[in-house]
This record gives sequence, C-alpha cells and structure tokens, in this order.
Amino acid sequence: MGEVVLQVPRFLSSLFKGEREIKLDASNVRNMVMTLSDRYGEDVKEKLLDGEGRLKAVLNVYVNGKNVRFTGGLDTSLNPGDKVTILPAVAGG
Amino acid sequence: MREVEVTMGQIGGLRCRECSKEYDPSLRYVCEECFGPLDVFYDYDAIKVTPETFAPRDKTMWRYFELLPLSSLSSVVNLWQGFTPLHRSKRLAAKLGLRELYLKNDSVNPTFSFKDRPAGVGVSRALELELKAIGCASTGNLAAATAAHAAVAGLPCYVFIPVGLELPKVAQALTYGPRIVEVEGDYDDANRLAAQAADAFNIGVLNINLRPYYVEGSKTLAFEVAEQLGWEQPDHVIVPVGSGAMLHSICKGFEELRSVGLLDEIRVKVSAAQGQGCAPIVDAFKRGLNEVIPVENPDTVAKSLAIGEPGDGLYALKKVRKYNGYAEEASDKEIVDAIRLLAETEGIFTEPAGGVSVAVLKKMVDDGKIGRDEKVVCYITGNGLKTPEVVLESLPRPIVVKPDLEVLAPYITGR
Repeated sequence: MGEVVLQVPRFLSSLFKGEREIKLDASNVRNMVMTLSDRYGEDVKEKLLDGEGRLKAVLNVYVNGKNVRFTGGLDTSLNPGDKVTILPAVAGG
Repeated sequence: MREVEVTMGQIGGLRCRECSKEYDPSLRYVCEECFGPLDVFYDYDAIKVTPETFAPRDKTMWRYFELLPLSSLSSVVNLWQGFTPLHRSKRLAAKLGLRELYLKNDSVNPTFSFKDRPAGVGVSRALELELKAIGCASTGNLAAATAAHAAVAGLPCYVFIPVGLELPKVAQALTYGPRIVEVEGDYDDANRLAAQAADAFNIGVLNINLRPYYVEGSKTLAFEVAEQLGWEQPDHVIVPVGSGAMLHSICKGFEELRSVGLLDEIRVKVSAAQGQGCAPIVDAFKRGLNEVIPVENPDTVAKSLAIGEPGDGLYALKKVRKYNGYAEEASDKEIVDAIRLLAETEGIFTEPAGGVSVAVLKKMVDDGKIGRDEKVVCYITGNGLKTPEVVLESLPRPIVVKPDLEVLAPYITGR
C-alpha cells in the first residue's frame, strides 16, 4: 500500500531490466526518478534527465494521464495509487 | 501504377536526430540511447536521378519513390495522391501586392488533405513490416487518410480522436470503415492513449511508432514545388504548423533534393503559421526561446493545428531559424476572413489550416517580412468541405425569391 505504479513502455523496458510495471514509494516525480535510479542503476537518472537535471525534452511524464509539464514538472507530487507513464514526446502529424 | 524499372531499397536506415546513432529500418521510432526521434536516411550517392527521371512518370507523389522509405514499388498502397496543382495566384497576389505567388493546393488530394502523403507512405511501410493492424491519433484529417489507406490495404484500423471534432471530418473517416475511438479529452489525450495502445497491442500507429516512415511522405510537398517551378526553389514558403512534422519534412525534402544534385544551395526561407490560441512555436520564436512550451488548453478555430504538445515543435523552430523565416499567428477572425479571401479571389475553398497560411501570408506582407518581389509558395493543406461550419456564420444568406423573373430582376447587378 502507499505505492505509485509506473507503467513502463517497451522502449524503456531494458532500462528497467525488462519490467513493465514497477511499484514504488515516491512523494514526487523527482523522488521517483531517484528511487528508480537507486534500484536500477545510475543509467536511469542519466537517461531520463538532461544535463541540468530537468526532464529531457524528448520525454513526457504523465501522472494519471496529466502531463507533468503542466503541473510542476519534476516537483509534481505523487499520491498512493497514482499511475505514472513515461512516453516519447511524439505528438501530432 | 505503371511498372517502372527502378532499384528500390536505397534506405540507409534510421538515424537519431539527437545523437546520430543508427538503426536498421525496422519498427522503431525512438533512439535506445537518448530517446530522440529517428529519421530515415538514404544512400544518396546511390540515388541517380535527374529531372528527366521523373518527367514520364505518373502524376502522383509516388513518382519520387527513390526518396521514399519503401523497399518495393509493389508495396505501395496507392490512392493516386499528390502532384496537386501549384496554382499561380493572380487576384490574391494583386490584392496582397505580391508579384509571384503560388498556392500549393493539397485540398484536392483523395481524402482532401495533405495527410494522404504521409498516410500513404506509413500504410505502405506497415505492409512491408508485416503489421496486422494500423491506426493513428488524429484531429480529423489523418483519421480519414489512414482509414482510406487501410481500406485499400485491407488492414484493420483504429483511429483515436478527441471529442468535439468537426462532424464532416468524423463522418468522412467513419465511412471508410475503421474502428474510431473518441477519447474524452483533447488531442494530446487521444495521442497519449494511441501511443500506449501502440506499445501494448503491437499496432502500427502511423504518427507514433511508424512516424519515421510516415513523415517522409510530407517531403513530397517540397519535391513537387521544386519540380513544378522547373527544378527551382521558391524564395519563401509559408507552412501551417501543428506538430511541426510537416514543416520539418518539407525542409528535409529541399535538403534531399540538394543531396541528390537536383537543387543548388538551399536559400528558401521557411516561415511557420499557427492559430492564435495554440501557437507555441510562434511564441518560442518571438521570445527567442530554445524550447517550445506546451499549451495546456488549445483554443483555435484551426482544430487540425490544435496540438498543444507539438512533437516536432523544437525541430520546426530550429528549421525556421536556420532558413531565415518567421513564425506568425492568426486569430480566429483573421483565419475565417482569409478562408473567404482565398475562395473569393482564387476559387479555392480551404479548411482553417489553409486559412492560417493565407492570414499569416497577408500579415507578413503587410509587415514587410515578405518582399513584394519574392517568389512565394503558400501551402493550402486541407479542404473547406471538412469544416463548413467555420465559415457559415460569417457568410451572407442566400437571396430567397419566388420563381418569377420580375421578382428576381432587382437582385441582379452588373447587367
């Protein structure tokens, strides 16, 4: 209980050792990235964040379907039961 | 399509736009290393083409197949799209005070928008990759184009659209027989669900996991303009922008013509046109930013451009800067006025995206950002019959008369 659920898309599964759904405790998105980095290696942090420690422009993180760029970025708070998704920033035709 | 002797398979592979890592031309769309988008590249040295190569071929976009990402001509799912008119404007040009204005009229494609170009390539490539189902996320135009090509290919098709699209677009798309999923949210919600579906169910979603191939179709908007101008480039092009993918592809098209020796140094200026209320690229351009800040609640009459999180926004912005263009926006009223102006002067009935192009063209001429002696091409990307309600309110009502010549007479002017 008290955990958020990260849904891992196929393009990220190798980063998370093949896991497609990860449960973890995290109070905000930054905290989630750090926890994942501790669990799966520094690669996670290096690949998800840019040189200035911000979420890479080529990625979008959604919390319950809401893009965190509209809700405070990495500071977006997480609550137990929240569903988090990471997708490439690919939209439109 | 006529049988043509050609060596296909000149796709070099996929290359990351960020870190340049290369991949085989398989079903992938992001770089494993940095998650940047992937682009198709070709073995340009092996492509031997001259103006005479294309001249005898069918007047469709497939005439440029050496520069399209297909292994075999037999894979082509053909709706005979492209090679649309490059309409030399007389009355609109005169009204704006331009010497040489052309309208690239993509409203007359088989499903009535430019989307037949990328959809044709995407669905054809899906067949080559042996995908069993395809789909797309769409504001309406891609929905119809994808569904029509799926019908020809005989593939199941899933189309994700936001609620509230213009009814004619939904009716048109539904008629081709796809499964349409109306997502409770805006375009970006529909697109996110489509991305998750592509990942979970192994569907080839044209604008997502087939994106590297799909966007290649829009390059033909550059190829055709160059060929129709006698293998010359215009001085300035005005491109309506939603995600930025089409603008990026048009630039890639001109660059590739240079790579295969059909054009000299690229000197065309490339300007972006967006609707006020969803103009993140214009905003970034005007503020001199190096990032494109998403728009949370897009609000413009140009729904086909209402993409709040433009996937290729930053790349389109870079191209506008590289090619010395501008980015400008048009209000809803300016868009409607421009739709009517285009129809009244040139006989072309466009949807709001085309109105955005014309409105921005007018604004840029008025502001002195386009020289009166420049050779200008304005892209008209969709048909007005898709969105009649946009103009209907602004139009005069018909004259109602009894079927009697005497009653009619006072209404007839110019006798």
